[in-house]
Amino acid sequence: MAAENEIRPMMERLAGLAMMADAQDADSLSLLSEALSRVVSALEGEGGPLLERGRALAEIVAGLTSEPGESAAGRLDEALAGIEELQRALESAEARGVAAKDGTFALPSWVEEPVFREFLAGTGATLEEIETDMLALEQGDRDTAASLRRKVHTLKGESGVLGLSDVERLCHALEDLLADEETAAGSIDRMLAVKDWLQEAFAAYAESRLPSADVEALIVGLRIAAPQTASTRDEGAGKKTATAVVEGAEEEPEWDEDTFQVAEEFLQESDEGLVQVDDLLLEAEKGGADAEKVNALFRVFHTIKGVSGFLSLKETTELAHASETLLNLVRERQLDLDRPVLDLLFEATKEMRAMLEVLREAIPARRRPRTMASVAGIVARLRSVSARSIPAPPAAVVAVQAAPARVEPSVAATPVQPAQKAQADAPGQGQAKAKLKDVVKVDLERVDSLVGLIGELVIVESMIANSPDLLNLQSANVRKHISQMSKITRDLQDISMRMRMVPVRGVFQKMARMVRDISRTRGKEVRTVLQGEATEMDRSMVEQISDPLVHMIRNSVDHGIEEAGEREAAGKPRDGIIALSAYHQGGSVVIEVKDDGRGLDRERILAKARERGLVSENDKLGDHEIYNLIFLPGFSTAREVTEISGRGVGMDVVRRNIEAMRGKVKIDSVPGAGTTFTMLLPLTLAIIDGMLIVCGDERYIIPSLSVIELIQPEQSAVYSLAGRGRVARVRDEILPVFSLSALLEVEDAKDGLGQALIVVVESQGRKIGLIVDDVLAQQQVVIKGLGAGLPGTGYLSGSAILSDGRVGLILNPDEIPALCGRANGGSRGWGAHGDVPQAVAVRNSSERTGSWQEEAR
Amino acid sequence: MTIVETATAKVGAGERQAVEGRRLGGKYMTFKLADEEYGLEILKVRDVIGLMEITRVPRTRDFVRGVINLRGKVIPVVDLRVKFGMPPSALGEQTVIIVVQFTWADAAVTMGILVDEVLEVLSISDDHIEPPPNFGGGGLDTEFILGVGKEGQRVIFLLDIGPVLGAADVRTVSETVRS
Repeated sequence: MAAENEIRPMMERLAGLAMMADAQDADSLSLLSEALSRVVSALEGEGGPLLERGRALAEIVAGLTSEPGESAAGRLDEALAGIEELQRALESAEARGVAAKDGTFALPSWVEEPVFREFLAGTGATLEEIETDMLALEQGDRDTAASLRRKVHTLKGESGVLGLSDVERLCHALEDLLADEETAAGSIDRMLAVKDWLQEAFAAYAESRLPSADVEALIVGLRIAAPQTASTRDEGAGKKTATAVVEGAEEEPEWDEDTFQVAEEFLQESDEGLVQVDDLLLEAEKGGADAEKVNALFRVFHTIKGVSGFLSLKETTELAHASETLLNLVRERQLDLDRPVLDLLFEATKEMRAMLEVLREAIPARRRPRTMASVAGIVARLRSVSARSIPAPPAAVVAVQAAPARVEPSVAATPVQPAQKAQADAPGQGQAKAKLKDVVKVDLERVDSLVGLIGELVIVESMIANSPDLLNLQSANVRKHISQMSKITRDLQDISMRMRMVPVRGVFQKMARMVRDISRTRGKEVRTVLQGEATEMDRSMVEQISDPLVHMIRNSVDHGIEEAGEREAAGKPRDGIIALSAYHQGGSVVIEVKDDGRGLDRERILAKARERGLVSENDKLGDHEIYNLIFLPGFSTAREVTEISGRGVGMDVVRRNIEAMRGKVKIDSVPGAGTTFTMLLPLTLAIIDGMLIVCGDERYIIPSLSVIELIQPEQSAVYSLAGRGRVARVRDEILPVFSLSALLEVEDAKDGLGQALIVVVESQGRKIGLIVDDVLAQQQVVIKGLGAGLPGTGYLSGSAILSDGRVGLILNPDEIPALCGRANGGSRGWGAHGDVPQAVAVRNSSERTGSWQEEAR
Repeated sequence: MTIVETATAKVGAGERQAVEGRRLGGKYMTFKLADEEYGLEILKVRDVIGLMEITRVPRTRDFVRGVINLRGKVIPVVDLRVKFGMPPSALGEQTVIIVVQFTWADAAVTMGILVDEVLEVLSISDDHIEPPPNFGGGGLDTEFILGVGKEGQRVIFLLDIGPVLGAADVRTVSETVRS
């Protein structure tokens, strides 16, 4: 055992050097050779096959250092594969050594318990799939061999990362066997035995036991069945990949459908992983990089490396590998996670994303992605940082010699490695198991169709519950059942809505990353504070808030937050703060972007608006009205256009996107103290709260979010203007009033103000009154599209099925006044440019009306 | 109506040409608009539903009768008579809505068409189908006629439903652009 404890650090160093070895770099080779001979001499005492293998490898590497030639790269690959195998063999020998002592299984120090539990939770399904594939293979379906091999490969990779060396080796042997379909089909019994063992093993691991030891017999069995011996195959495989890369440069075979699916999954996982990386790096930057976080970072890159290697995405693999190497050094405390290293990793993440984008574009077209962006620059820099941190040989000797000394006292006390011991003793291991929720990944299409069906059920339910025939029925029983059905339907609806809800965390983290990048380019010091990341919203909305958030945050960083010097002069801390928060309020989600910068310059906005003729000199605008001006298209007060903002398109996009989601946005600002953007959004795009109104013989729905109040015209005065328009005086305000029936060209509606009602709605940021026949109810409706082929219905935002099964149309208050222009034969120019002059016109006309009223009095 | 008479007269003399190399033989759902008989490719017919209350959509094209709730999905209903320039359908006992689904401008479109009466599903073989009549640029546009089926004494106009309903949309868009 003592020998192994000495070998372990040596082996780790060897593995680290192997990762960075380059056939063209003599220094790296001599370091490798030296480390390898050290391991070999440590193995002397052991003897056996490992020693022989080690000697053979040392010879190859020594040969490489003395005569680097044409075939150097190929021979190095061979040696590296051998080193990896040697390392695995040593680790498993060690694990068995530990097991022999106490029979329990302990996780390696770098694996977190929840990650491991999650892996175990997923193995059940994987093994089932593997079994299905095996049986299909037996039935003569040769194509499943490829998919089976992929599953086994994935399992091998995952178990390798988690330190389950037995599983890893077994999977490796199984993968070898599967290389030849015919042989594989003839050894189904053997393969099923492997699957059964794996099942038992995972069950054992879950209870922190080691699986039974007969894994060796299984591996030997697989090796016998496999067409070649393992070692030759390994080398063969090494050569194969080497040649595949070369061939790949000339002509890459197209992927099959399965591979594309793997690629899709890979994209998704990598996206998630990279978000996590951003988050971890940001935290590390704040000074909170503990070993756990470094491990988590390492794992993400490791996974990406594994899968991209499988997909032969050479550049991605290279980049992931270089990043992983760097992180490995951090993990081994040979390198500090300081600013330059963090910057490098941030950059690597960015490059990685760019490459994933190439893949993302290639997948729908079902073509293999072309060569990705060149990563040579970043990879070289990652490597050079890694190389610098590898201690020079003399220092290394000290490190290696020091290592056993450090371990020895604990060896004397207990045979278990200290880290493993700590893991085993860690309290709450069982609790972690209980806390972890079982998660099933479901096809989004299926979820959507379920949600759709429940939506239909809700409608049918309300049709039944409200059907006059049933209401007339004097049966307490039927009524009881109906009310029960209603309750279940409501619950179902609730669940179906929640199924699509996801936390805003992902978007928030993306924003935090962006703040960092932008503040860097602008030379400002900005911190992000996130609050309420767990707040959930409809999936599609989370995607849609990203764009507006980007613009608001850019605006805040670029124009809001001052330079550090200016901040200090103003008595503020050097670091600017951008606080992103999300919370529920009633049936809506509120998202706030708050900065502690200089605030909006009221006077400058006003001056700019006057200059552009958007506001006349005499207009008296409230603070909010002035701030809202920045949402107008092309409006920018920036003195200089920067790379990031100042062209005046951003805030216009913000308002448009938010309104497209039927949300509202508000700005508050205190000069010198900061600006707050508040977005008020519906929980989901699928349902809205609406006011059901009548106009003619049809019912319409006005979104409640837009409804300000309901008035009976008697209470206010309605005046006609120039014989055409009408205005209503509501308390101190004068509002333009439109007859909905006239706008919609519905004939049989009441227009006499005596019977009608006025609904005051907010339309494009101002109030208008709509004359309607009646208001029926306030209710939630499920939004439906209008179907294709209905031109000229921009004033409708959709439709909904009402409780009697008929369709009700949902009005879009923002577009309603535009109907008036069209009815008068005016242009349709109520869009991007039209709304501003109109706003002024309305204002002017109300002023005019005011004086006119005075005359009337 | 005169269209039918003229069409029948022309079809006899019409030169026999493969319509864009398409074989038109197959099953058609036939229906009546006033006295005229039309056929729709059965593969495009999703459903035939009895008349139900149609919600009028203000300010859209006159041939759009409104929208209906088709088992939870909202679809527009088109009055084919108005589309063809005839007086609007007087809703009667035989009036039904044929739900069609077709691809237009790369999107799947589902629509209801209001017809006076559904007749039957008819198998028409290739050699019983004549190319669309040619009115020589004189007013009557036959782009939405796939061909003319002959079945005994009957003459059935086989509709290409995409252009009938889809093109309407396109035309409206271009009008809007002009204005």
